[in-house]
Amino acid sequence: MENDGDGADLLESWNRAKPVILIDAVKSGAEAGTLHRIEAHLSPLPNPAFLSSSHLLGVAEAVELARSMNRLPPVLLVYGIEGKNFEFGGGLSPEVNRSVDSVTDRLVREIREIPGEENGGAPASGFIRADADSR
Amino acid sequence: MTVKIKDGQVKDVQLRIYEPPRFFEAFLRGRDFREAPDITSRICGICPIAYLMGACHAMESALGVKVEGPLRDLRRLIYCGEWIESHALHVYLLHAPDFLGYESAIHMSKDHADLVAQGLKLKKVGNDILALIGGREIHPVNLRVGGFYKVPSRRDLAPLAENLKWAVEAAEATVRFTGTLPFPDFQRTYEYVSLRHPTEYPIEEGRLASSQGLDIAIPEYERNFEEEHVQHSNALHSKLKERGSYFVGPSARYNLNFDRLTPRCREEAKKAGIGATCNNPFQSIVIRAVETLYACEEALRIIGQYEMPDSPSVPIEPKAGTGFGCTEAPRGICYHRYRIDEKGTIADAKIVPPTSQNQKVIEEDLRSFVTRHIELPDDKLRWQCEQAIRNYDPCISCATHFLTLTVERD
Repeated sequence: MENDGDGADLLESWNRAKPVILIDAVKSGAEAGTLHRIEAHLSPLPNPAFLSSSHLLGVAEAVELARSMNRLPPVLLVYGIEGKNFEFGGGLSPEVNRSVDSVTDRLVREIREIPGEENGGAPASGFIRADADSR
Repeated sequence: MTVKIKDGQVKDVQLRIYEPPRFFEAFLRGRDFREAPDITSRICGICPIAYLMGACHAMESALGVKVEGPLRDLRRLIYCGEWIESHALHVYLLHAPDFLGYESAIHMSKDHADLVAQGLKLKKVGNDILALIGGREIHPVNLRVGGFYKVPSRRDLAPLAENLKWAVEAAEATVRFTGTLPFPDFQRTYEYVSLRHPTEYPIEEGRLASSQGLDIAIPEYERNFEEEHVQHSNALHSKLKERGSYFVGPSARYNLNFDRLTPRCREEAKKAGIGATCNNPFQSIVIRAVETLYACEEALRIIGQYEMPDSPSVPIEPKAGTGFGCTEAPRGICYHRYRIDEKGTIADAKIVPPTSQNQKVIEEDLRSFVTRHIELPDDKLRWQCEQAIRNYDPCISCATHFLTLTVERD
C-alpha cells in the first residue's frame, strides 16, 4: 500500500499486519542510490536520515511512537534508498532509479521467504541481507 | 527568538521565522484559474482544504458562480475532516505533552499509550473523510472550481458515519481530558478576528468580524488589513490598519461564535472550565477539542441529510474579474484574492495564511510571557516560550525543540 507521507497513519495501517516491509527515501549522507536495510522491530531508525515535515510524523518518529506504544508489527523491515536531489520537481536521479530496480528484485525474494502466521512472523534464517552500501 | 533584557526589564522580543519565502503568489501569475486550487494546496500539507477552498471560492467569486446545496455540503464535510485531523494531531501529539510534562508525544506514549492511540484514531477519522471525498489525504485531488470531479453516493458515505459515531464520543472525551490539564494563569486582551455566519459555526462561509466591532464582507479585507515586512523575520506581519495585532484561529472563532456551537459543545466547554469567552491562549487546547467535537457532530449531520447531486460541479466559463475567498483553516482565516483576464489567466494573486496573521500577536504574547518569567534560567525559559508558541499551532511548532533562544541581558 502507498502512504501519503503521514507517519501517524502507519500505526493505523499496519494494525493487523504481521510482517511489514516499509520503503522510503533516506538522506544520511551516503552515496546516492545506497540501499539501507534496517530490522526496525529490533533496533531504532536513525531519525535524521528519514525526512519529516513540519506537521506530519516522519517515518522514524512513527516507528518510535509505535515502539513505545507496543504497536510495532512483529517484523518491520525498513528499506531506505539514499536520495540524491530533494528539490521540488524533477524525477528520480539515475543512481536512485537503478537502486529502485535492484531493491524491487530483492524485495520479491525477501517477501517469499517471510514465514507465515503459524510461525509467529519470526524471520527465517535464510533472510537475504543487504549490505549498507550495496545497490 | 531574541530577548533583550536591560536592568531586569524586557526591552525587545523578536521572533525570527527562518522558513524560506514562498513565491506562490508570483508563480501563480500566468497560470490558468483552474490550476489555482491544486497549486495553492501545496502551501500546506496539513491544511490543504483551506487553500483548495479559498482558491475555489475566490475564482467562483470572480466568475459570479455560486456553489450551493449538496455540493456546498460536501465542501463543508471535507473541511470538517480537515479540522478533525489537524486538531487531533495538535491536541494529542503536539500540545498535550507540554501540559503533562513530557518532552514529546513519543515520551508521553510510554505512560499514556491509550491516550495517544485515541488521538491517532481520531486523526484517522478526519483523514478518511479527506481520502473519501477528496481522493487522498495529502493534497486532495477531487476539488475544483465549481465543485468536484466526482461526488460520493449516500452509500459511499455510510462507513464514514460509523466512524464518526465513535469519533463524537472520543472527541467529547478529549474535551473532558483537556479540561483537566494544568494551565498557566496567563490572560491578555486580544482583538479576535474570524468569520461570522448568520446561523452556523463558521468554517467556510461568513463575513469577517472582530471582538472590536469589525463587520465586513470578505472583499473588504485589504481595506482593513495590511502586511508589512519586518526586518528581523522572513514572514510578513499582518495587522489591522487602524489597531495593530490581531488573533485568528480556534480561540477567535470560539470567542466570536460560542452561540453557534451545538448544545453539546457548549455544555462540554463549560464542564471543561471555559465559558462563553476564554482569553487564556494556553486553554486553546480545550477550544481545539471543542471544535473537534463540533466538526464530528457537523460531519454526521451533513452525512445524515446528504443527497447525491446530479452533477459533481456547476458550469464555469472564464471571464475577466477579481475574486475573493476567505475560509477558516484549522489555524484561522486564510485569505485569497486573484485577478484573472478574459481567458481565465491569473494576472495577480495574494494569499495570506493564518499563521502569518498571528505573528504579531505571538510576539506580543512572548513579550508578556517573558516579562513575567524573566528570572527563569534560559533553558527553562526557552521550553516555556515554545509552549507559548504552540498555543497558536503554527506550522513550525512540531519539532520538540524548534526554538533557538538568545537572551541578551545587560
